[in-house]
Formats: sequence, structure tokens, C-alpha cells
Amino acid sequence: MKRYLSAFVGLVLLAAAGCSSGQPAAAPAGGESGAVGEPYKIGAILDVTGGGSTLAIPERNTLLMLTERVNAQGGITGPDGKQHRLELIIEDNKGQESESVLLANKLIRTDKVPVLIGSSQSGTTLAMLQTVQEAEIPLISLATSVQIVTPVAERKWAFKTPWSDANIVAAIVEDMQNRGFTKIAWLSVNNAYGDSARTEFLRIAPEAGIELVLDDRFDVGVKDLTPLMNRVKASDAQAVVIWALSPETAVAVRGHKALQLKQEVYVSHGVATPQFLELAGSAAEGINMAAGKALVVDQLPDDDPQKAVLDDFNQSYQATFRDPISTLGGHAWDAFHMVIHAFSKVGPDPARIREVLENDVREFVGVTGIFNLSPEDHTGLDARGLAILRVENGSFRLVRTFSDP
Amino acid sequence: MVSDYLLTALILTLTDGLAAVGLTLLAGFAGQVSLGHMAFAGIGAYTSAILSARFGLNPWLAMLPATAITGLAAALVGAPLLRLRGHYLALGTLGLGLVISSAMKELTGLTGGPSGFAGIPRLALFGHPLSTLEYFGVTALMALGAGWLLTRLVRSRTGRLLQATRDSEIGAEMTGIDARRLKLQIFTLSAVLAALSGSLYVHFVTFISPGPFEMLNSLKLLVIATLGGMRSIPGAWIGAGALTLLMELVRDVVPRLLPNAGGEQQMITYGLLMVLVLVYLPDGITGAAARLVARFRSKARRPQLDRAPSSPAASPAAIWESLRPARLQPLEVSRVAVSFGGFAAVRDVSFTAAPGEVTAIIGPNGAGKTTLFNLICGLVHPTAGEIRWGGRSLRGLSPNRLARLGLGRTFQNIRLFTHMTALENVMVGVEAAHGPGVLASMLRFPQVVRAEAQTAARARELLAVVGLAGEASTKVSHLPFGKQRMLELARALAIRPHLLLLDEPASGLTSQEERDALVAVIRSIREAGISVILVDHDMRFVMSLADRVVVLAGGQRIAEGTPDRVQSDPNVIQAYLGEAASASEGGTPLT
Amino acid sequence: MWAQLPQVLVSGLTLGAIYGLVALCFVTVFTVTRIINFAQGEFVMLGALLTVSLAGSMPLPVAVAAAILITAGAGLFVYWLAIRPARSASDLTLVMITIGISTALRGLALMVWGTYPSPLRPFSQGPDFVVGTAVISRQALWTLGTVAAAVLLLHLFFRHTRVGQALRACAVNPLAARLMGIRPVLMHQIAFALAAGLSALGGAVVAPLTYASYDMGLALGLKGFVAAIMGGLVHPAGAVAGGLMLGLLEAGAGSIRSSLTDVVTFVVLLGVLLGTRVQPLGLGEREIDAGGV
Repeated sequence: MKRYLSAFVGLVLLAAAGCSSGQPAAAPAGGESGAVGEPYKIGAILDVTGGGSTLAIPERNTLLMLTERVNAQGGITGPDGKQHRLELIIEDNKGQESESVLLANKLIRTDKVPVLIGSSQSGTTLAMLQTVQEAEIPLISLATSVQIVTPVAERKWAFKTPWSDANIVAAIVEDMQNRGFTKIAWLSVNNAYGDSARTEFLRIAPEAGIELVLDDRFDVGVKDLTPLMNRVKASDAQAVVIWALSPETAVAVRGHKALQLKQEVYVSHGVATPQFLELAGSAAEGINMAAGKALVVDQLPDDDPQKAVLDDFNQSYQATFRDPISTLGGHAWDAFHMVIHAFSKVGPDPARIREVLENDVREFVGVTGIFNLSPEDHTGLDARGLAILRVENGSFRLVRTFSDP
Repeated sequence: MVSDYLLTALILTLTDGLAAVGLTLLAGFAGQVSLGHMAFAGIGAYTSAILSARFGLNPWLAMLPATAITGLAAALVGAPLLRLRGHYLALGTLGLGLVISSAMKELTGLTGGPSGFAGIPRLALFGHPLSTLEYFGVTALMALGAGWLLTRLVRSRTGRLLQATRDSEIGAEMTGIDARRLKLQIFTLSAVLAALSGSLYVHFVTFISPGPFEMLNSLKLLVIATLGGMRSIPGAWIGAGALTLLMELVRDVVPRLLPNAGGEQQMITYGLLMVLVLVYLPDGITGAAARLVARFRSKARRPQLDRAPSSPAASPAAIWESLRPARLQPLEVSRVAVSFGGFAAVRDVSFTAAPGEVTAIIGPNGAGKTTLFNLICGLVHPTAGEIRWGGRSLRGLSPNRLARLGLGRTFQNIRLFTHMTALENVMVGVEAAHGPGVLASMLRFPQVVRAEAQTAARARELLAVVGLAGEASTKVSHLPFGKQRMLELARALAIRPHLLLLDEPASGLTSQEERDALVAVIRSIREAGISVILVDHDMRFVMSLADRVVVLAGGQRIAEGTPDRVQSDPNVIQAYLGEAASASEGGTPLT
Repeated sequence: MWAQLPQVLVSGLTLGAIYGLVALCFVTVFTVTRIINFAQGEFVMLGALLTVSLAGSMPLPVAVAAAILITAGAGLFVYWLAIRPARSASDLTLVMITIGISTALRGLALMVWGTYPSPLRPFSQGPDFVVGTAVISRQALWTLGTVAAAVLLLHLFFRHTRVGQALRACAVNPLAARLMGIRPVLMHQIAFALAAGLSALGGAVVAPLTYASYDMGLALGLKGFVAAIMGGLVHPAGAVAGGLMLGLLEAGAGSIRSSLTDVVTFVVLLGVLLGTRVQPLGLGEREIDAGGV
């Protein structure tokens, strides 16, 4: 009897599990004038649960918001002159590579999407590459690793919107040079995100006359980094680089502050979010980063080429979600707009979408930066999207932008 | 045309099952837990990936050293690790998994670090990389092959030895099974399977990183093995399939029933479903299926062992004669002592058990009789003194080694292999010391089949001489106590003992009939030339059988001699009356 | 290198105290019910997140108390839903069930609190203390103090209250305890609720240091498990000692090379295990026969 009772309770829980506030669905809006064609499908694979959730949630939100917006206006006008609503199918790969592979197959074979956006992390994206190459479906990734788009000959179908670590690390190194730092401590998180930045830094630092006096890594989910900060204290580093996402970075900077260390601190663009400030509290004061301009829209001069797009992003995101924007959502914004640009030109034809992406995305002003995709460069970004930011008085302050490519 | 989505799901399920079946073997059959098993899949995957991507080796060929190296690593690591037990072993395997995970991330030059590397070649046939459909074919063949070979393995000698070790590790040791070596073999085999699974995976996805080989996926393997059922080889694949279906269900159905359900709702649903399934199907899916099938069948079919003739060809006399030991070896116990945490259980005990005689050891409770037995058969190490058998010192020899040298033992609280039949119990005794190994059992050459039939025949003979011929197919748990005692004797005889230690063989026997039968068997044992050392509380029983009696009290020998002499020894009488002796069945002290 | 030692001690003991508390909960549940509850870490997580949520609308001590009570209730709920119906299952299956519970609880937390970690303000505001070369935050002192108090109270509870003694009796010899009129199901429930509530306390006190997030339970539970094993899974004192040792090991390894923290910790642990826990064959079974642990 009791076994059945607990089974019943379990089933009730299962039912309750779904009845929480979810996100707005991609429901088509009411009809309007003009011939209506078949909906255009977009597949998205995001690391919603698992390690990449801080990345995926803003990305998911952005995609949903934009889809709703487009559909509210009746959809896109395709090359056939008809109105096509968008059907966005989002899948969660749970941060697992094998799930990514599986879901890519599902979206391509079962849902028959002509284009994929995702995933949020490099490992899960790289795992899908074989599948999308075989199926010949274009993929726009929201992850940072340069392996996604190179070697070019083997990455015909893969694109990405975030900057490469090369751009960001170069911006940071330039800032260090300008401020005369020659001895640096490098601390990064022990996964693909931290690792690819580290590889890049190790490559360009010597040319810039920077010496690495400390080089160490810490694990995801680490709770206390004061022992590591102890090592920094004992070294003669003038500046410390902490390359991780928000939770670990917050732990690190708090450790740095707790030990009352005086080095200048640089962090990664992954923490360019207001939530990070909330986590790190006063320990975030004075930290530097190279990141997108999304967080400092109102500090941008009016003639900044991205200002209009950034304002749009900022206002629409805040209106829908009541959460401040982050640059991560910006990557999704850019991917989405590239996709609908392609849709409006060639419709849901994978091979031709790919051609449009390669050849018709020039001086494309996005949130992440200004894109110039080409057959040789499937990211197409230069320094123009970046800014050096600094945290002052509990918010992000713009220090400088890079106006030349 | 079958959808690539379905094929991909199947490929991933099959490789998961391949890694999980190693765990089923390890945990379900060998009783060892492993919480870091994906580490072995990782070693195999990385080796294969590095050899094929960096050194240009053909992927088919690369998988061979991948599995070999992983097997070697497992053997090296397993040897010390398997000395731990229970939760300590669990922790050890967890640590192993973490250390290997860390190594994958640290050795950046070799493994590409946390980012991993791409560009790993697909398996190819005639220069043409396999399509998803072809890959599925290859994976399915490998899975079927592995499943088939492993099923053979668990139905063979190895399977019996494993089951015996699970049922009673001490009983198994005293029957001559080298449990440590056996576990290490299974551990290595399970690692090899994981390595194969990892290689297949990595040549499919063509990208590798430490991600899939971390602890969370090791736990997923455990879930798969448990879900499918730990007692069945196909269970691993059934579990993998069930989990894939479960995830599909959650992914598909949940958003339809409950709109706006995203990954978060999926997670809790998945967890709840897992709990519910595990709670109500504790033996997994195959366990539940087996129970269902058993309801429709009056008795389960056993393998062809039982189709042998019910009465053996040889006569009892011939069977007893076949048990005659080749050598006559006295057992000399000199000045042996052992203490447990300050308490001296045995102090300065010396006696000799002459070959071909029945030597009885008696004494009041707590005198140290069982401890003395444990000392002789190697379960406990003496802190002082020597035990020599046929002139050879037994110091430091493990119980299973002693068993293989011909020292057999029965236990006061019977240590039979409860999940096996009477026949299988005795078969284990016959084949424990030597027989087809793991590889031979899987491949089942004709001589293996023959050896098995011979083992079964021999076991029947031994059952017959102790009067259990009709119980060959009965499970031990269904046998009455008296017959279980006899069975333990038969099993001890199966190892061809030169010396038998019988620990309270008469205790628990309720009828005179049973006692008489036991006395008859022990007499036959003595007449066959096997030395017997006997401990019991029943004086009538002991005195009627013993040629010599040694009396222990308070851990020391207080008397030795013929039964008559000992019975009238005043020290002995004092020892029994002075301490509150508990009533023994069927006899008062000293009569 | 030696200059870092005081700081290593402070960091190690602080985190080690939490590991010790979680280990204590593992041991409490295990000795009474013979189950290793892999979901123990999730109760720490619940305690932390509940405190964060409630602290907004009530004084902090009340929030902490409420979090403890709610989590203890959750522990009972888990026992009734999943542990009790499966009581006849094998050890391994029970472990798997607790892993499933852990996943479900994490999913619940994810739904309710989202993915982003939440900070909690320290229990008392004020500058950190500097002792030599070591910096001790106030919250670290709170942590150490709370864990010490909890251990002391638990000790008194087990020794001097009827319920506590009944729990111990159940742990040492369940059959005899039943014969004495102690109801095992009641004891199991008490053990589960007690462990869950204690874990929640640990979560509340450590949240200002390490943040509360839906996935903090996994690592903490694992470390608590390790610490419990190190301490022998028998005595509460051993559990706490195991936790402190683990914390110090981690801090020490982290101060040499942070990327190898886990490796060093486990290699040392394995070494200790192999050096001390290898039992000669047969002793384990004999002990079980004699009615020992």
C-alpha cells in the first residue's frame, strides 16, 4: 500500500515538475496581409543544464525574444515574396558532447532544420562538426574556440560569432603593454574555455615582452582560491589574469581581495555580466577586461557604429526579461540576424545559406562587433567590437574602444 | 532509409552498453564496485585517437594497442587497488577516475589538454570512411560479439568461480579459488571493454576531449548497468537502451504535456524517473523480466550440465579410493600463539596430527578451537610459533594456496555458495585449482567443453558418496541444513584433500540418522587415508571417531592423548566443570 | 613557502570544517541505516539556497532556522519516497537511487533558483582578522565555530539523550535494538532528518564564502564522502577529523600547484588507504559474524 502511495506522490511530482514559469514559446502571431509560406525552421542546441548554463540562458532568452519579435511582425519575407514565420526549436545538450551529436542529428534528420545555431561551449560544438559536415548543414556556433573554424579547408560548414581568443587576448596584452606590466601571473580554469585563452596568451606574451612568473590552473566549481592567491602573493607579478566564468572568477577575485593583494586584475569577457558584479561584490572593484560594448551602451559616443544595434538589443532584452543584458546574448543576436538575412535572400536552402554567410556578410554591424565573413574567415571579427572595461563603483566603465580594424 | 538520428542514437547506446557491460561483469558478477570506470574508456579513446590522428595509424589498428595499453594500466593499478574492500575500494576507484581525468587535462602536449583535439579519422573500409549506417553495423557486430563471448564466460568455470567468490569469499578461498587473481582478471577485462567502447566512440565523433570521460559519466555507466540488471550480460545494453528511451521520452513528451518545459524540467523529470524505476525494479529490467518468466515456468532451465546421467558409473569404493592422498604428511603445530588486540586467543599450543588419523580438538567455549583452525588454514596469521605440514612451513601461505596443496576445511556456520546448485558447488571444488581460464572459457574450444563435462561427472561422483546424488540440481538455499553440511563435506573432498579440517560438523544436526550418516562418511574419509582434524562439542560424536584428542582451555593445550585417557584426565574435568559449559546437543560433557 | 603555511591552515581548516560536517552527516545516516546517501551534498545546497531566499524577508537567524527545518523535512520526504520502498534492494541499487535523488534535487533547485550562483551576505560585517601572514574572514570564524558547536551538540545528543542513545543502539546492533523496543523505521527517519538539517546548517554558514548554486552539492557531497571514508565511517569524531584532513590536504596541494589539487589529494588518500585499510582476508567476514560493524 505504502509503495503505491509513494509512487503516486512521485508521479504527482513529475507532473508538477513541468508547471513552472517557462520561457515564452515561439508561437506564431495572428495572420496579416500577404501570402503566407511555410515556416522557416531554425535549430538551436544550447548547454542549458550542465556546466555552460551561465552562457546558455542569455543565449536562449535572446533567441526566443528575437523569434517572437520577428513573428509578431508576420515573419520574414522570403525570396518567393511570401511571409514566412520562424519556428525555433531549442534543444538542451546538458553540456554533454554525445548529446550534442545526437541532438544535431535529431534537428537535422527529424526536424529537418536547414541551419543550426549553437552550441554554447567549444567542446560540445566541436563534437557536432562531423555530423554537420556530413549532413551539409551550416552551423553558427556561440562558442569561442578557434578550432571550430580552423583549419578552414575542413570547416566548410562551421561558423562562429564570438571573438576568437586571439582578438581578446591581444587587446589585453596591448593594455598591459600600455601600462608597463612585464611580469604577469596567469590563472585559468581547467577547461577548454580557459585553456584556449592560455594557449593564445603564451603565444603572444613573449613577443610583447611579457614574462609569465606564475602559470596555474584551477578546476571548475572550485570554492576557495586563497591558496592559489598565496602563490600570487609570493610571486613578483605586477598583474594577474584570471580566466574563467563568473562563479570561479568571483571566488578568485574575492580571494585576491581577502589577501589584500595589490596587483592589477584582468578577467575574461565571460564575466562581462551584471550578475558577476553581484557575486563578486566589492572584490570586483578595479578589475579590467576586454569585452563587448553591450554593457556600456550608454557610455558610448553617439558616432560609434554599433550604438544603434546595441541600444536595440539592450532595450528589447530588458523589456522582455527584466534582466540586464550580457555580451553572451549578443552572440546569439548576431547569429540570429545572420540567419534571417540568409533566409530573406535564399530561403531554407542549406547550401545557399552557407554561401550567403560566406559571401554576403560584410560590414555587418552586430552586438559582438562588425563582421566580415569570407571563405577564409568564418568568424570575420576584428578589434572593433571590443572595448576595455573596468569596474568602478560597482558598475562597468568604458575605458577605451578600438576604432580601427 | 533509416534515419541517421536513430542510427546515431543506436551507435551511442551500443557503445555505452559496451562500457557498461564491463561494469556489470565487475560489479554484478565479481562483486567489485568501480566508480571511475570511464577513465578506462578515456585511456583507450585517447590512445586510439593519438595513434591515428598524430601518428597516422589506421584506426582499426590503433584500437588494438588502445585496448592493450588500457588493459595493462588496469592490471597495474588494480593489483594494489583491489586489496581494498567495500567503501574503501569505491573510494579508490573514484580517486583513480579523478587522477586519470586530471592527467588528460594536464598532459596538454599529448592530449591537447582540456580543449582536446579534432581531426580523428573515422573507421574506414577499403579507404572509404564508414557512413553512419555502416558505423552502426560495425558497432552492432562488436556489441553482439562481446555480449556473446561474455555470456559464454559467465556460464563457464570462470562464471562459477566468480559466483562462488560473491556468495562466500572465505568459502571460495578455502576451496582453492585465488580470489584476488580472479578479480584482477575481471577488472582488466572490464577495462578492456571500456577501452574498446571509448575507441569506437571517438572514431565516430572524430573529436576527443576529457569531457565524456569524467566522473558524471562514470556514474551514468553505473546507472545503465543497474537499470538493465547487474546479473545479466545483455542487461548492460538493455539498460543503455532504456536510458536513451527515457531521455527521449523526457525530451519529447515533457514539453508536449507541459508547455514551456526546457532543460531544467527535463533534469528533474529524469532524476525522478530514475528513482522510481530503480525503486520498483531493484534487479533492473532483466531481473523483473526474469521474475515474470519464472512465474510462467515451473522450474528454470539449467545449462546442459544437468543432462548427465543421474547415477555415476563408478562404485563408491572406487570413488573413495580415488581420493586417497599420494603422500602421508603429518601436521605439526609447535608453540603457536595469536593475540587480538591484547587478548591472547591462543597461547603456546603444540600438537601433532598424524596422517590418516582423526585428531579431535575439544574444549569449553572460548578455548580457542576455531581460532586454531583459522591459524592452520591461513585465515589468521600467528604471532608466534610454527605450523609445519609434511615438514614444510605453512607460514605466510594464503588459504587458497593451502587448499591447492590439499588442505580442506568445512565451517561451523556453513559457507556454501548459496546461489548455486549442489552440483555447481562441488564442481567449483573440482575445478578451482586448474581449468580453462578467462580467454579459453570465452572461446569454448572442444577441450573446454570436455573438461566441463568431466568436472560435472566428478562432482556427481562426490555427491553420490555423501548421499546427495538426488540433490544435484537443487539450489543450496533449498536444501535442509543437514544436507548442506554434507554438501560442504563433498565440496571439501572435491579439492582432493590430504588433510581435512572439520569445524563442528555435527552441530545443528537434529536426527540420529543424520549423525550416523556423518560418522559413516568421516570414517570413509579416514579409511581413504585422508587426515582429519575435528572440532565439536558433541562428546559422544567426537569420542566415537577420534584416534587422538587434544584438549584446549583458555587458549592453551591442557591435555592430549587417546579418548579414554583424556576423558579421565582431572585437568580436563576441571576445565569443563569449572567453566559454565553450555549444553551441547545430544550429549553432556565428558560422556 | 613556509610563509604561506598559516594561510594554508586557515583555508584548509575552514573548508575542512564543512567537509567534516557533511562527512558527519554521511556517518550518521550510514551507521543507523547502512545506506550511503549520495544525495547528502544536495541538502547542503538546499540549506544554502533556502537561506539566501529567505534572508531577504526575515532576520538571518530565522532564515537559517527555517532553512534547516525545511531541509530536514525534505530529508524525510526523500526517505519516504525513495529509500523506504527500496529497503530490500541491493546496496548498489540503493546507491544508484540516492544518485537519482541527487539529480532530481538538483533539477528542482535549477527550476526554482536558476543557474546563476547567489551570494549571501556574511553573518557579521566587519574587516577580516589578520594573524601573522594569514587572513581570516569573519565568515570563516563563523564556519569553524558553527561546525564545532554542531559537533559538540551532536556528541551530547548521542550520549545523553534517549533518542540519541537509541540511534547509537540502532547503529551498533540493529537486531538487539529492535528487541529492546526501538523502532528502526523511526530511527531511520530521525537519522535522515537530522543529517539533512545538519547539512543545511553547513550550507547556510558556507554560502557567504562560496556562493549558493544549484550544482554546489555534487562536489561537496563527494568531498564529504571522501572525508567520511577517511575517518572510517564509524565514529563521528573520525568523520570530522577526516574532513579537516581533507581540507588541509587540498589547501596544501593548492598552494603548490592548483591544477593538481585533486590529483595530489587523491594520491595521498590512496596511499593512506592502501597503507592502513588493507585488511587481511577473512577478518572482515569474521567481524560481521561476531556482530561487529
